[in-house]
Amino acid sequence: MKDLTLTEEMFLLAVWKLRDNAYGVTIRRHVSEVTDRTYPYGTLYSALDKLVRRGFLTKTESDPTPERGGRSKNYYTITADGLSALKNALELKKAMWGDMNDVILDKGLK
Amino acid sequence: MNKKKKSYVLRAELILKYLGYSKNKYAILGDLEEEFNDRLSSQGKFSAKIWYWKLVLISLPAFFCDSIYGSIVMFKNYLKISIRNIKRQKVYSLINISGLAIGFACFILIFLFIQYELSFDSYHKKADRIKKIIYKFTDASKMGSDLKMTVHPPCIPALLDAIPEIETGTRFTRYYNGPVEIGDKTFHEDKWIWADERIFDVFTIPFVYGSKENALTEPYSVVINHVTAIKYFGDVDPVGEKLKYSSFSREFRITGVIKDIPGNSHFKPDLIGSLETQRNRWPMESWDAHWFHSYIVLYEETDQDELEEKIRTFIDDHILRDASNKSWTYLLKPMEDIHLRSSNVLSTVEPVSDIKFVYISSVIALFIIIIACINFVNLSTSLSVKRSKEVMVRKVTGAQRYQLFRQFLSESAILTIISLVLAIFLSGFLLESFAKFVERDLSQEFIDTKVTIFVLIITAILISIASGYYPAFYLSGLDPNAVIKGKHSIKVKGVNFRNLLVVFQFTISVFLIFCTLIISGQVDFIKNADVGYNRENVVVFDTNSDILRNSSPFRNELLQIPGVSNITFSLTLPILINWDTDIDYEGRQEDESFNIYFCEVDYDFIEAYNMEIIEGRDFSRNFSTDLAGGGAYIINETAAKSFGWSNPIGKKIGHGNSEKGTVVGVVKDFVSRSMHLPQEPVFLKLTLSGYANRPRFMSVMLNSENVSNTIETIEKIWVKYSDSDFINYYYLDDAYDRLHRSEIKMNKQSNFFALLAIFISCLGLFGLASFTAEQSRKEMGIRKALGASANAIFTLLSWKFFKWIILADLIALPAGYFVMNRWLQDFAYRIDIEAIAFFSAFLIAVVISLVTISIQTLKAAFANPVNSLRYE
Repeated sequence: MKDLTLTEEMFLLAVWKLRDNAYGVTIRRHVSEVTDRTYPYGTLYSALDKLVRRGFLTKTESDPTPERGGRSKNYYTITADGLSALKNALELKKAMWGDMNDVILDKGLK
Repeated sequence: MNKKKKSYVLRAELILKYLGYSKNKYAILGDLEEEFNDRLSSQGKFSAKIWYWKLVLISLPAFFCDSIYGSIVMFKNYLKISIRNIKRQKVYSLINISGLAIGFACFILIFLFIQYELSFDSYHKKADRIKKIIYKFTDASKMGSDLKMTVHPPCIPALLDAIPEIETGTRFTRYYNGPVEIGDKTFHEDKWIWADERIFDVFTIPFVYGSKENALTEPYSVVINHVTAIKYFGDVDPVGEKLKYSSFSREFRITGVIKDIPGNSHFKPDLIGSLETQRNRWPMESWDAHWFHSYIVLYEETDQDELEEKIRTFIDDHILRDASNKSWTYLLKPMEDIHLRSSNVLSTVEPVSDIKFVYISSVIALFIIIIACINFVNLSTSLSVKRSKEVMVRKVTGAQRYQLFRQFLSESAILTIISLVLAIFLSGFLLESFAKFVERDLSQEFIDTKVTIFVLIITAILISIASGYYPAFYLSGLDPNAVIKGKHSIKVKGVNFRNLLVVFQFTISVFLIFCTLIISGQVDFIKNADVGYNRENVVVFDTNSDILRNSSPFRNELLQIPGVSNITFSLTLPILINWDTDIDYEGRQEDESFNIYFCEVDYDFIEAYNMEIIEGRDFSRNFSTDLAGGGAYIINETAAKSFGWSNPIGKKIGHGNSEKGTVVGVVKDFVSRSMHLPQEPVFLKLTLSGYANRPRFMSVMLNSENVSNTIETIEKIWVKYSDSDFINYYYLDDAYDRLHRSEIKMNKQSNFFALLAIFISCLGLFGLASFTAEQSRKEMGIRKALGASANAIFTLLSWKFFKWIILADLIALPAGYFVMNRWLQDFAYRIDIEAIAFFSAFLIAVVISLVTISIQTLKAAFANPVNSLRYE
């Protein structure tokens, strides 16, 4: 199976973290806060769509709410496949980083 | 408030719709609105709105990619249909694609040219820190401009000593010409400079053989460029070889071979001799004459203005105090400005251009691409109207509006891409001749490929959208029911807009035609003007010291040749009298310094060149006083006027340190510089060639018959008098043309652009005419059936366009008059703009457009009404 890209990994983690409240606005806000970068909705939704297609996320539409001008929300939840993909990613990272840690990095930078 | 907020949500929705993005549309709009409302309460309306649109905008690329992803299958169908359409409408497609391709190709070429012009001298590593020192006359100058590129020989060493902010500096002289001998072979070289050894520290000139260390420190060292090295020795390392140059008795040693200096440099010497060679021959310490091109390199943090001030203070305090001529100072000019921003400075190494031409070229490139795009948009729109039924069938079978939108956009994109590819090939094909045309060495290496490709892609995208926009928007919105039943006739909106475009195109064409007429009129005038001397059948020879020593017997022997009518020797040629000197004349104010151009001549100069003496007499062998003492002078009318002399004969003048001489005659003003410059004071002084210590030209006036025989005979006699059999000659007329090269070039270019503009506008007009004829087929059928004559229909249809052409004329001609009048002001000698020019420009536009329209209107006029009406 193809590995997750960094962006995909980030979105998956965000959905997992937000639990029951994972929809466009909250995911975007969360990821933007963590990375300190602006993610436009275009990028967000094409990544989410791709994750849905790959079976890592499921999408449910909520009822329309008035503060959204009568439009529905897309809620996302992470699937078992999604979780195992995250696990793979984590193991890959651990294997890659090995004994490397921030202390060594800081030393190297000096 | 609520309503207003709705409106931009709606607009964002529209954008998504037309991008064909439907999947998450509601979720996205909802998300946007929710965040918008959050921000509205926390940050206020304005910043919330800004945020909203910013987010929509930066989301677009991703939306766009997403929407394309799902439509590859349909795209295959669109491709098929577009190709079928191209095939069905062969003529129109050809016109359409070729028009755009030609426009694109011209755009690419001009774009390359502009990049080339802007790249001048930027390849030097220290380019931004190299400044040229410029000489400025602080007194009112009589020389056309008060700036000169050359400064005094000791300037650079003095500045390097005195001012620590200067990293290094170098100086070299203008191009010299002369024969170079290698063994028994002789080559004529005209780009020899003398430079000091620091030239390679200042400029980035890589070496092929040898190295820059000590290349020019020794006397009699020379560095040559690669082309010259190959010409002399073939492709081998020539370092250490010897060559003889000009009249130097000692041989020069080649100490290095440099890479050929790129075409986009303001100086391109072929050979660089060490200045050390001239140390004892030239007044290198003298602050009297200024004739060295000098450059300094500033340290990174040095400010140019401050340094300029410092240099001036230094000059004032140390040099001017003791100088005889105090009316000058120095300026600094960034080296990168030399090519495009120094047309007001005299004595450039190579001819320079002007930033004006870059601007003009950019405008022309823009015009061409706009005109081509307009045509393309016009024709595509016209063609697509015919396809309303196809669109309706698609709609009935379930095509969404965004799909139709996408279909038309991809179709126009396909056409655009075909044209673009054609254009790239075409421009590659034409690059060489275009390079010759603009007289630039437009090779690949300096082209910024990334920028070029970027600009082309952006233009292509814009054109695709513009040309696909109308059918995509309008046709997709029609009611299929009405159209298929034939109740809805397709009315083309924006006819006025299209007519406006025709007016726009023809305005440009007529404008260019008018300019071309005026420019070629002026160039004709320059070529044939009465300049005050005879220019025809004059051959000019560069002379050498042997010839000059024997000038008198040599001249007499040449005069025996039947083809030769007269011969004279002179310091410069009358087409360009550019030596100048300080002069002292009767009636001069004590503190006034007067600069004047002069030419040293032999007897017969006035006679040979057929100049007119209006007062006094010519130099004559019958007056021994002409050569005695201070000698004799002939001045021109302007000089007499500037001296304030009403009766100049017998008055005294002197120049330099020599004794004062007598004015014996006044010659009628002749054009002694270029046609640009007003008449300036000039004097001619009789100095026999044998005694001259300056170079001389020999002008030979020929009878028109059997010129080549005559020149052959001259060459035979030449070798009897001269040790060197090196002979260089040219026609005076050609030299004259070279002086006015930029006008002649401009004439060629404006001809070309006028033709191009006319061609492209005609394509547009043709497209529009055929479209209109097609649209009014039924109308014309009915008119004919009711008894209208072919003639009447022809007139009716033609008039529809004709009035716009006339309107275009009315706009273009005054504009042309305005611009050309300004252009002519640059010439001291110029033509008047006459009514005939307006009339011809008008007539040309009318005739050409009439012919273009006729092809369609005649067809409509003679069509059988049965054909257009039988299906009703």
